Amino acid sequence: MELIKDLWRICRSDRSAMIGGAVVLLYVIIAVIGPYVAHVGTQQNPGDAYLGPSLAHPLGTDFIGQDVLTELIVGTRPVIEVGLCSALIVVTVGVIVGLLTGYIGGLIDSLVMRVTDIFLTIPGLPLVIVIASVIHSSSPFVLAVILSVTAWAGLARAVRSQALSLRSADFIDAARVQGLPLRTMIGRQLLPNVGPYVAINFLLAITGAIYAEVGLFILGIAPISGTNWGIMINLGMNQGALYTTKSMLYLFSPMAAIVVLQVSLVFFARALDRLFNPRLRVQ
Amino acid sequence: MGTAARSGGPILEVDDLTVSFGTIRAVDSVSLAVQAGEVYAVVGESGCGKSTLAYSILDIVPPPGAVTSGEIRYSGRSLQGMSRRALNHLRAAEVAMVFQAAMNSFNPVLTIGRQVEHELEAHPGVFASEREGREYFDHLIGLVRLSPELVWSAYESRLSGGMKQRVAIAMALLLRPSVLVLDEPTTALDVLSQRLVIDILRDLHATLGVTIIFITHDLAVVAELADRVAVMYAGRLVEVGELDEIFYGTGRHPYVAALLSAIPSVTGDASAIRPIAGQVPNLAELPPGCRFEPRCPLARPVCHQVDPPLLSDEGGHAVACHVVNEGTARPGVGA
Amino acid sequence: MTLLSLRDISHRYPTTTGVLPVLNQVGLEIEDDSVVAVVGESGCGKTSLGRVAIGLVKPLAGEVLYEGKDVWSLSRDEWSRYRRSVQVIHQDPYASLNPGLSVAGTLQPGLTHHHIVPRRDLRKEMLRLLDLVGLDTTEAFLRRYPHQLSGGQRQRLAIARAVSLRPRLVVADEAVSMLDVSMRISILDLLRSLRDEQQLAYIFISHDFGVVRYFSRGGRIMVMFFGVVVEDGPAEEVIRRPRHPYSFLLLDAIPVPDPRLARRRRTEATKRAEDRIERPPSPTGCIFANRCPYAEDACRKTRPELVELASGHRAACLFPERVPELAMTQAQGAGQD
Repeated sequence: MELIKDLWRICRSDRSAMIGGAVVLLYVIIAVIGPYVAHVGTQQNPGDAYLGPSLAHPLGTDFIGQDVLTELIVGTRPVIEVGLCSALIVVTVGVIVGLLTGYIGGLIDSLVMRVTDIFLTIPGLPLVIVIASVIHSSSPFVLAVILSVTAWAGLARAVRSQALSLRSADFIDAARVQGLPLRTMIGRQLLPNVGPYVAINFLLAITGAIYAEVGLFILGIAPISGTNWGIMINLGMNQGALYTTKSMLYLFSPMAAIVVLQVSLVFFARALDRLFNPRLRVQ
Repeated sequence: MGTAARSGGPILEVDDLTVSFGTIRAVDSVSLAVQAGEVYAVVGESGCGKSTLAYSILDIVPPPGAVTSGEIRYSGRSLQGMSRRALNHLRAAEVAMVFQAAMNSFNPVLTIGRQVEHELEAHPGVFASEREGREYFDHLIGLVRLSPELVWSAYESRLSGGMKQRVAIAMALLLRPSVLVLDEPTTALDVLSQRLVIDILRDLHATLGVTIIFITHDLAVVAELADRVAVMYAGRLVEVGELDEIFYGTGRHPYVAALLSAIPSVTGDASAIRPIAGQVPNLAELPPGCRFEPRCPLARPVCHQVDPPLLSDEGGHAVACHVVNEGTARPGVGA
Repeated sequence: MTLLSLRDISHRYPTTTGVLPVLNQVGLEIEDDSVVAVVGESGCGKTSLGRVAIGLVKPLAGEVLYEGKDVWSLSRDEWSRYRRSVQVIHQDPYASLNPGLSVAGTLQPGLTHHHIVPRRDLRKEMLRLLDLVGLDTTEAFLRRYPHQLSGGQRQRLAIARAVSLRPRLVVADEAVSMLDVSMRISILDLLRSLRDEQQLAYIFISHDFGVVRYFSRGGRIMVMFFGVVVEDGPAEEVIRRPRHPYSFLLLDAIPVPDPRLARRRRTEATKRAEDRIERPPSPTGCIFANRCPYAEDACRKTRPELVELASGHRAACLFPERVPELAMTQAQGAGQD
C-alpha cells in the first residue's frame, strides 16, 4: 500500500520518529501475543518478595514473589486496549462533531457548541473518577467510553475552527457547486485537510487515556481484576511498597513502561504529521 | 537630491551579477546600466528574476539568496564593499524602494503621520528640522494628488488600496533619493487607480527629476512610462533597448516579439494574438543552450547547444539571440 | 433559448454596514452557447453576481430562473440538474483545488455523484478530461497533488473539473487574472474551444477589458459600478463606443501596450476624473453622479433606467450624448503614426 511505503520513507529520514514507531510497534506486538507467552502464576511466595534483578527475574519480583517482567507483559494488553479504544471514540466523535458544526453552521452549530462548551468546562479527571466509581465494570470498552466522556470536546472545538476556515475556500465552493452531498463534503473534501491534525490528536488521545486509566487503577476506583500496570502500582502501594526501598524496581517498572510508551507515541506522531499532509508526504 | 554626483556616468551599474538560492541562479550574469534621470523598466514574467534583481540593488535579497558573483555600483561606488552604515543611508536617502503591494506595508496601529515621523527621526541629517520634513511630505502628498491633512492623521484602514500605494510613493520620496525603485507599482490596483499612479509617476519624474526603475510584468504600463526597457527570461537578460525599439523594432528577441503578440488589448488586431507554446523552464533543470529555445519559432541547432551572449549595437540596443545577432554588427557585450 | 435569467437581483451581505447594497436591481440574461462578460472594478458586485448565478447565494430580492423555472423552488431532481448544468472556475489557481486531494481525487467526486459514466469507465473518463484540457494523460499524473502543479496546470485542472459534469453554463470568475501573461491566451483559447465543442455558455467576469475583448468576440459586455449595471451591449460596440460616462472613463484610462498610442492619448485633452475617483457612490439618483464629469442636479434625483441607445446597446444615463469618443478610437481612425 502506498501509505505504508510513504510511512517507511518518512521514518527513514526522521530518526526519532523511526525509533518511536518501532517501540510502539513492539508494545502492540506484546499486547497481542503477551498473554499467550507469559503467564502470571498463582503461587504466592512472600518469601521471594522484592528480589533484585536476576536471570530468572530480569526486573525482579513483586510483593508476593511473582515475576515483574511477566506481569508487565501480561498487563500491556488491557492498557493498550483501553487506550486505543478511548482514542478512537474521542477522535471519531470529536472530528464528526467538529466538521459538521463547522461546515453547517447556523443554529445546529450554536446548539452543539453550547453542549461542547459544557463538556469542556467540566473538569475531566474528577468526572471520570465519579462515573467510574458509580459504574463498576471491568469491560475495557465501558472503561474507554468513560474515559472519553470529556476528552472529545477539545478536539471538536479545534476541528470546528479548521472547518470554519476551510468552509469559505474556493475549492469548497466548487465542490458545493458540483452538488456533492453532505457526507462527501465532510468525508472527501474536509477530512483530508484536517488529516495531520487528527492523526496527531489520535496519538495524544491515546496518551491521555492511558494516563487517566492508570490513574483510575492506582486510585483503586476501577475494579481490581486481572493484571495491568495500574493495578500493579495499586496493589503494591496497598501492600506497603512505599515503606521499603527494596520495592523500588517493582514500582518503577510499570511507570517506566508507561513513560516509554508515551514518549514513543509522541515521537511517532511526527511521522504521522508528515504522512497525512500531502505537501510533506509527496516529493 | 541625494549625494549622487551628476557626473554623466550611469547612476546605477549592474556588472555581471549573479544571485543564487543554493544551486539555483535566480539572476544569472546580468549586466545593465541606468542613466541618471531616465525611467528604466525591467520586464518579465513570474520567476524571471526581476524582483530578485530589484532587491539586490538595495542589497536586501532575503536569505538563502545571496549575491554570488558580480557587482552593483551606485554612482561608481560598489555596494558590495559598503559598510553597514553607508548601506542604511543608501537605502532610504539615495535609493528608495516601493515594494509590491505597498498598501500592505503600513503599520495598522499607527497613523500615517506617526510613521513618517519615525522615518524622519531615523535619518536626522536630511532636513534641518522636523517641521521642514513635514512640509516636504505635505508637498509630496499634494504631488500624488491627495490631501495632506487627510493623510497625516489617517490610519491605514481608512485609505483605499490606490491611496495607500500613492502614500507609499510619497514616503519613498521623502528623503529625496536620487533613485526610486518600484516593484510592480500597479499590479494590485484597479484600472482607474492604475492610470492615476502612472500619471503621477510621470509627473513626479518631470518635477523632481528622480531616476525611476520599475519592475513589472505589465507591458502596457511599460509603454506608458519607460524610456528604456530590459527584458528578463528565466534569470537572464534577453534584450535591452529604447522603448520604441522594444515595441516596434525589427531586430527583437523572439521572446519579446512573442510576448507582445500574446497580450490581449483593447486596441490592436485581436486576430493577430498568438499564445506562446510551452512553459517557462524550471530553473533547477535548465536546458543547455538558450533558455527560450524549446518555445522559440526561430530555433536552430546552435540554439540548443550554446547559450547566446547579450550583444549590443552602438545605439545600446542589446539582444541575446543567435539568430537575431547573426549578420548584425554587434561587437561587444553590454547594455 | 434563455438558459439563465437573473431578474431584478438585489442583495446585501449581512455583515456589511454600508448604505448601498452589493447588488442593486441587476438583470442578466444568457442564452445557450453565448458569452456575457461582466466587467467592473473591485467592489462592483460582479463576483457576487456570479455567486448568485451559480446558486451559492440566495439573493434577498429578485428571481433566478434556470430554463424558466425559479431555481430556489425546484424539486430535488430539478435542483440536481441545475447543479450539474451551471459550474464555476475561480480566480486563484492555488485556492480552487483541494490541497488534500490528488488530480484523480479532484475529478472523481463529481463524476461519481452524478453518474456521468459507469464506474468501470471512470479512469478512462478522467484521462479523457485531462486530454481535453491539455494536461498529461498518464496514470502518474492522476496521482499528483495540486502543490506539484504549476499555476497554469492547476487552472487547467479546475477547468477539467468544471466541464466534467457536462454543464451548459460556466461562470468564469477572473479565470486568468492570476496567471502569467503568456499563459492567459492559451487558457482563453482552451475555454473558447470547449465552448465550440460543447455548446457552452459563459458568464465571464473580469476587470481586464483587454482579456474581455479577446474572449467575448461576438458576445455581450455588461459594465457594473457599485452593484448597478450601467451599460450593456455587444462586446465590440461597448469597447469601441461606450455610452456611459463610467465605461468611457475606464476605457479611456486603460494603459495599452502601444507607446505611440500612449503618447497620442497624452496630448488629447480629456476630462479625466482622477480627482473624483475617491468620492463615494451617490445614494440617490444615479449611482455614478458624484464622480461623473458630466453630472447635473437631475442626475442626483432620478435613478436612470437602462435605455436602449443603439441596437442591443443600453446605458443607464440621463445624458449619454455627452459621452465623447474615445481618444484611442480617434487616434486609430486618424491613421498610423
